[in-house]
Order: sequence, then structure tokens, then C-alpha cells
Amino acid sequence: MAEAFRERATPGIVPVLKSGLPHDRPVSEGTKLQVIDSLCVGCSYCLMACNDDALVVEGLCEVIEQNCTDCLRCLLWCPTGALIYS
Amino acid sequence: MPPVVSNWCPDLLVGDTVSKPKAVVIGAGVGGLSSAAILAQTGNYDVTVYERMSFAGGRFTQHDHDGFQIPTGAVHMIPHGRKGPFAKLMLGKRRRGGLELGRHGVDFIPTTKFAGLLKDGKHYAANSVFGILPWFHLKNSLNMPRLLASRAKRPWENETVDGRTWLKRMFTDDFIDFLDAFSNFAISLRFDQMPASTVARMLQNSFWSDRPHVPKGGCKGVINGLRTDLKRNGARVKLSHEVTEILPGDAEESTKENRFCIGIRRRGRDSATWVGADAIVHNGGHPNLLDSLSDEFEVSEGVREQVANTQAVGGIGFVFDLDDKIPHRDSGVTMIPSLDRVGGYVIPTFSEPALAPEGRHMMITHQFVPDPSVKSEIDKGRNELYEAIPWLSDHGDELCVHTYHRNWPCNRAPQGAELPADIGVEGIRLVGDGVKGHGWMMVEGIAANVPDAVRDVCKSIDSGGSA
Repeated sequence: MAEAFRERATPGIVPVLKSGLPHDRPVSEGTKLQVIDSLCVGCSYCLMACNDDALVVEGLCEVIEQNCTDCLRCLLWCPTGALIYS
Repeated sequence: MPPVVSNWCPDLLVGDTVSKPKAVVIGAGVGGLSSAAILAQTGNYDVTVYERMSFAGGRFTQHDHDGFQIPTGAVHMIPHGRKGPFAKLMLGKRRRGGLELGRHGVDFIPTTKFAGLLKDGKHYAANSVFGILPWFHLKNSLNMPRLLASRAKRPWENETVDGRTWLKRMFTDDFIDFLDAFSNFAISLRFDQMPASTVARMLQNSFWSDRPHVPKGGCKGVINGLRTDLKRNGARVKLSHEVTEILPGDAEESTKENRFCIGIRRRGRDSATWVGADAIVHNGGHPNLLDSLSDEFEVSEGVREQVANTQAVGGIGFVFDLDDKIPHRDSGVTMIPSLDRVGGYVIPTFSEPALAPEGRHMMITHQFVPDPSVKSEIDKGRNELYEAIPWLSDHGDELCVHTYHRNWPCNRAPQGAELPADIGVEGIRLVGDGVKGHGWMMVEGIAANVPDAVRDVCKSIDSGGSA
């Protein structure tokens, strides 16, 4: 294995899996869709899932709260678990 | 380990089969699903695939966006076409280790050209590798046999020479730039980031291979074929199920007959349930495996260090909606060697029109990411594209930009610095893009490693069962 080349790839540390994040439906009032910036990769999959123009992705994902209808389709598509509903 | 038929009770019934050894596949990416398909086709194991996300296929599938089949990563390309390990695995005969997915409608359509080059706004396309050579100085053609004769089947020991420096001994700069753009497009790395033996092997594989192919129906066509095959063979794919822990089998009463006890949590639920497994094929990357693996399994410090020091490879891809009047009319991968970020683009709809609405085309670009500030990298890529492709502003609209980094990278380990499929725990093997075969790129690398990983796992179950 070419040790000398291990560090030459893209910068950015591989994070540990954030297992056990609260992912889904509301448990109490006031819960809303949020983005964990440290997990978001800006992939735009959530954008494609959203029918309500409630998300913008410019580098990272942001939620436009007044448009969000809590359908949570985006959450199912998020590959990294960066979108949470809590 | 459980004998093949023991403790017969209704709980152990799966369909009409009696408790077979349990093989669990973690991750429903293309590596995980194809491993599961091989295991299920043997008929000897009870196979279940657990996937954290709500869809199968990982970075080798697509989502529909107004009729555009937007890929989740794999740009709808099978780089080595029908001659590569991927085609052998998916379409090959069972007696030769293939899955024969052709029965489920999986097919690959050749690109209309082998490759292209966009230079100073002018587009060139070639039908084979021999069509590319005349674009460059004669020295490159004369030295091609030297590249092909280099011994690169295995990585060279303790190599420190990078691919670019090594190629410079044989080829002119403009030819290396062209190949480098290809590497940038395909694996998100430049030649100076890779060991020479990897570059040599990769180019040799590309030289001898078929032209790239587009899967019929896009990447999802292959994934659907795999899922149909799994279903027919009694295997289950459980989506939205996340693995929380991997413990020794005796940790729980219900799994004490098995080698492993796996904690599975369904999305939206707080508590995990325990399932038993006699072998695990892990498609989720080394960091995620080590994170979920209990301390009771011994993983050497060397492996842990290697995993900790390996950085995933990021990438950025744009998807454009094109009208039918574009002057570019082929589906070969087009390299743009003069650019700092973007490697090239491909318009797969010239081979598979079903990937876009009628009368439209879809263009996918790819660029490597040398700087962690993704936002500025996106801007740089976009500017380069509009500058380099003269017709883009008149005929194209940007549909979306995908970024791949952190825990959703292009490759979980850089090409040339792959991690071992075996981390030293009996009964666990890794598959996927962190453990590619030497010199095989993209899905070819994943497919090159899958049969070995599955064979090891089967051997481990079978020897455990008889002990």
C-alpha cells in the first residue's frame, strides 16, 4: 500500500458515523426541520425531494421555515443524516 | 455456529427454508447488493441487506427530477464497458462467477464514441484508443508500448514516485494533461496524487477495455435488476434500517447461536433490535465499521491507524439540462484538459435517451476538490465550464450541483491508497469504493473486489458451521 500517497487526496477528515440521531416525526410541538452543518455535504438531494421550495443549497443546505410543510421527504433522501426533525 | 438444520422452530422459518447460516450485508450500495446477490444465488444462506437510507443503490442510482434521471454519483457510466469486471459480475454466466442479471432486463449500451477532447473550444471525438493518439505528438504513440509493458499488476513496493512524474518519462505534457483530465473526471484525483503503479495499471486497464457503456435505464436499472434477483432468491433488503452496534453473538440470548449480534435501529424509532449473523459483508466504509464494532473484536492498531489516516475523496458534479440543438452529438466522455478544476463531461442521453425528457439532453460534469471550501470550489467549476464550453450558455440550464465529501464522498479511500477488505475480524469483509482492486476505477474497482470478499465470507461461514 502506498503510504506516501495516503495524505495527498482531498482535504477533509472522514467523520465518525453519527449513529442514533433523532431522525423522524415530531414528538412535541415546536419541532422543526433543521440542518446539522457539520454533517451536510451540500449534495442537493434534499432540494430534488422538496416540492415546496423550502430548501436552498449554496455550499450547505438551509431551511426556509415559512415554506416548509413538514412532509420530510428531504429527510429520507439526505445521505449523511444532516437533516433532522427535532 | 449453527448446523444447517437445528433447533427447528417456526421463528427460524424464512419462507420455505429452514434456518440456514445468516449472512448480513450492511449497506445497499452497488457493492453490498451485488455481494448479497452472489450469496443469495448460492441458496445456502439466509441473506438480509440493511440500508440506513430510504433508497437502495447509494451512489450508484438516480433520482427523477422532472424527467431527468439525475445520478447520485456514478454519472451513468460503466468505464470499461462489457470487458470490465463490472460487466463480468453483472451480466456474466453463473459458472464464471457472474450474476446473469440480463434475465432481469439489465443491459449496457455502448457510448457512441470512445472518448472526446475539448480544446480551445473545438471538439474532437475518437472511436477507439487508436483514434486518440493522432491528436498528440508522435512520441506518445511510440512510447505507448512502454506503458503497456510496464509490470503493474500489483502495487510496487515502497513506491514514492507519483503518476505524473513517472508518465513524464514517456509522454508529452499535453498528452499527460489529457489523461489527467480523464482521471480527474473518473476518480476525482490527479496523477500527482496517485502512486505510479496505480496510474500505470489504470491506464493499461483502460487501454485494453471496451468503450464506456451506459446502463439501460441508468444506474437504477442495474440496482433494480439486483433487487429483483435478490427477491427471487429469498433475500431481503431492509431500507431505513441503521446498524448501531456489532457485538459478539453471545451478547444476547436470541443470537447466541450466531457469531455476531447486530443492533439494528429503524429510522424514527429509539430502540434497537438485535439480529444474529454468522458473517457480515460491510459496504459502509471502514470508519463506520470500526465505529460500530464492539471492542471485544480485536482490530490491530496498524489497521486502525491506516483507517484514521485515510481521507475520503471529495468531488463536485454539475448536471445541466440541454436542448436538442447542441452542436456536441455524442455520449463519449469528453475531457477538458486545460482547466484547473473540471475534468470533463458526459452526455449519456445520446446512448440512453430515457435519462431525460423527450427532446432534451442531460450533461454531467465532474471536478476534483483540492480545497475544502466547497462553495468557492463550486463557483470556480461553474465559471470554468461556461468559459470552456462555447455552446453551454446558449443551450444549457443548470439543474443542480452535487457535492461529495465528508461521509458522502466520491470514494471512501483514494485510488492507490485503498484500505484492506479484511480488517482481521473473522467473518467480516468490506466491499465498496474504499476497497477497490488495484488499478480498477469506479464501479469496476468495486466489482473487482466483490467476488473475493464474498468467497472469504462463505469460507468463514462454512468452516465455522462444521466446527
